[in-house]
Amino acid sequence: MADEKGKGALILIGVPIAVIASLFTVIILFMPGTGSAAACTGSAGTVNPANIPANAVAGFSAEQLTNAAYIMNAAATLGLDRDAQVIGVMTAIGESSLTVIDHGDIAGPDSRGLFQQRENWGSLADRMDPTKSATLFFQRLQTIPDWQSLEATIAAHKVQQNADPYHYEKFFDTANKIVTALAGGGSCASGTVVLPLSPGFNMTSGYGPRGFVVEGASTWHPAVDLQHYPNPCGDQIYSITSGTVTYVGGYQVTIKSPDGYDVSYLHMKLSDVSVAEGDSVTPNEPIALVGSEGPSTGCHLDIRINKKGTINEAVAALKAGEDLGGPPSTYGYVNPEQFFALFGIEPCPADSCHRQY
Amino acid sequence: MRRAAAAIVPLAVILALAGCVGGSGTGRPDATTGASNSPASSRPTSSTNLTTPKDDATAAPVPEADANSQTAAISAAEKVVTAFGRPGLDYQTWINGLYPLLTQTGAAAYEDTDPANVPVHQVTGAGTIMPGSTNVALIVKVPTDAGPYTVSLSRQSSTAPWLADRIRPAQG
Repeated sequence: MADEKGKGALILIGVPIAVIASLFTVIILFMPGTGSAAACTGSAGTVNPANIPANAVAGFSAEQLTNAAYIMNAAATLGLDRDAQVIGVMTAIGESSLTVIDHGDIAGPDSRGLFQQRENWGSLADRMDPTKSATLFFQRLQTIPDWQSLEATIAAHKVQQNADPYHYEKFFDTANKIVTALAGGGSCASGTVVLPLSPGFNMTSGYGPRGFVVEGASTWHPAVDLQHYPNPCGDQIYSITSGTVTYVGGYQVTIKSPDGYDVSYLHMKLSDVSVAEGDSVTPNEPIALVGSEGPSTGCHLDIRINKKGTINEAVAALKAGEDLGGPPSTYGYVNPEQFFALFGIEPCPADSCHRQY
Repeated sequence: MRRAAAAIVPLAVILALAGCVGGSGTGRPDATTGASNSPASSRPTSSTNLTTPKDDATAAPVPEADANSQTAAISAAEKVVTAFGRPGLDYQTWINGLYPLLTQTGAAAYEDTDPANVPVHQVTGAGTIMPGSTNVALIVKVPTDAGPYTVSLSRQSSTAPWLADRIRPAQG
């Protein structure tokens, strides 16, 4: 799949992006909770391929998991970290479902092996060998400037040069689960979706039917409410996805993901909004400060996600207000906790986030 | 928060001593919300739990893209898929044809694609706008000889040209 054509132009264009990316990395290091792409807890682990626990990960055979182990060990041998292990396993799921394929496809008739590498990658024997083909993959990954700061699917794409740069995104969470099951401990986040506040926040209202709210009113809350305690007012809100700002007005900012779903952030003062309609934003980009505008009894972030028109199958499959008996104002709105879970993120973990409702 | 509460207590004591405040005047500073200066939190008795702000807010719906925006978007999407679906071209010619039609994000993603891996050769019908369109961001579905593709388009303003963030085979 790889091809050296256009590398010169690619590198020239890549330089400013790499410089910007490294600046972001520096900023991220000093802003806990605004995680970088594929940010992992836990170090790279090595696996004994002869001792793969049966049914370690649902839906994957011992053979597939053994191939994942070879990939993980190849990364560890090169001194690469857990980020690389997850990216390698993710890529092989996307290319071959973790099986050593002995045939190509229409786009690449000469593609072979776990990573569907074409003839210009190496000998047929090397491409069909799990460890050697993974090593070829990781050696190219190492040449990508700042690969750790890229979205995992984009880092994989820069090595594979596929038609669809976003092909690997939906395999990230499964890859993360496989690496955790085989290496133990730790977890990685893809960088595609991040949290809207720095860590340590509490959840003051969950998604769904809500009992007593104010003066006897009962409502259906198509959102989650988040805040730090104390002093939630003026906290920085970060965009949880990439996308385009489609609405700034009242006490609301709405951003449409390139996958088509809308994320709305509520209760800020318009004077505390740092983006404008039409702006393009990246995950983790500061967009506004927490406020208490509109119907609200104190500073907090109400974040809600509407799946209407989304082209992301997993998001489209989430239940929304209309499936759960909500009123028309909740139609399209999915449970944000279930949304985050699709990207391997637990927004309100029991050890750090109090549910005060 | 704690500093603010500490400052309020002596003031309340002074006011109470001066006879300006009733028996409940000092209140419970630790029960106030972050919005300690809001009228709600200074009410001596409130039926809401003040440590858990509640709201009954609804999000304003974002207006659908107008007819002109939709027409321009369909035309832009068909153009970008046509430029994308040229696997016979050398890389430089291919990406040079695509760059003017891509956002910065789109350029950063697709400049690593080898056109030889693109399965599309031509657009085979008219594009359609996906639900949830807006004047600055929307998705167009475009039929091709390699199946339906979705093109995520965005632009800085309603008068700017539509550019592509993503060109992907339709999922599902």
